[in-house]
Amino acid sequence: MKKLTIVNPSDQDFWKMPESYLNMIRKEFAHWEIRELKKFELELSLLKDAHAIIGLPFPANLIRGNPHLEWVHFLTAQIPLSWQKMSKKYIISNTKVSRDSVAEHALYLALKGIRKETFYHSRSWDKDNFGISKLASESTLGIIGFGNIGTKISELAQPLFKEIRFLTNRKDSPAHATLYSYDDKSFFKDLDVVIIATDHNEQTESFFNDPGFYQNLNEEIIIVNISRGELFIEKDLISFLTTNPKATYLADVTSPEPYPEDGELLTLSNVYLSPHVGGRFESIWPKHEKETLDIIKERNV
Amino acid sequence: MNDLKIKLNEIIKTVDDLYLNTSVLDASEDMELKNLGIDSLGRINLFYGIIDYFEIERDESVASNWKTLKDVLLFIESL
Repeated sequence: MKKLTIVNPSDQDFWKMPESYLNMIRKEFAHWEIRELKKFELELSLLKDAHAIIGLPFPANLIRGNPHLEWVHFLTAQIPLSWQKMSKKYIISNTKVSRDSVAEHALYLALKGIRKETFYHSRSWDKDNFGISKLASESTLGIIGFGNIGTKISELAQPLFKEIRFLTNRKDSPAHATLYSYDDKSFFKDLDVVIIATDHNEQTESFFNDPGFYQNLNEEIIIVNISRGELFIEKDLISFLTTNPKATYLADVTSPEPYPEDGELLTLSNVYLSPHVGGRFESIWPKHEKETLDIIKERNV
Repeated sequence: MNDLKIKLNEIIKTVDDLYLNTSVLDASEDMELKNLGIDSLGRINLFYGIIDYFEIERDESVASNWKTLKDVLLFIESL
């Protein structure tokens, strides 16, 4: 009998798989032996003899020595770097579940940046501490990454912004946006807001790690990061934000997470960090259940 | 131990999905791994990073005993 390991180790109630999700798995894999991994440090052996794994992501090194593994199904849009180097037929992910929620959070951060809300205390009047907003309708929005989430952001932002641009490897432009390739510096010309919605991979990491990235940005740029904190080298980012105090950095992701209370980014007045809540929304588990089921049926496993 | 820290820092750069709060170069040897941002998953991930770097075979259960940065440095020294 084949073995399926469900990776369900979160200590946060929100991220624990509900019974309805677990029951769906039990029903669909009735002919498999199903085990649930709740604590990595105690149950690593459940990854070593599994034929299949469904659940939250973990580093690929943890399946070393497993000769049976046929596929892994992650309940996240992004696939960890360590898995990207493995055969693609091996790895499945629920790419659409969090799309709308993350895109809406990105737009929220972008508007928070445009309203200059990071520069004043939201509950107090301080005549010397109000930022002066730009209008979105007079602003150009650039989105780095043209996947599910980037596309959704552009659809939400299109009625609000003067112009929308994508920085992407893709060539199939939507009607409401213009595409630029990664080596085209004109993407950054007169750009007011840049939303980073790209995958974390070797190409994007080297793009953002390059100190030349900051030379492309204007001094009042609003940077929104909903992708990965690891894309930026923190000291370079802090140096840019310190020398350009009118620039703003708003992010839902940090490295590490949780971000330390005494972390340097939090000492800057032009930074706003939300605690990785883009993917938290009420109907997430029913959506995971549906997309997982669709994929299982499609793959006929 | 400083040479070992430099070596460990080099190794860490080669390990995907391992992200530390603080550079090991700035951390004291008695710093607990969890305070560096290395949890139980990170320990196993780091363990494989080390044995890949030295191209050797060891049992991963070794890593379950690591509590502090010094434990990792002593492991590297023993190789």
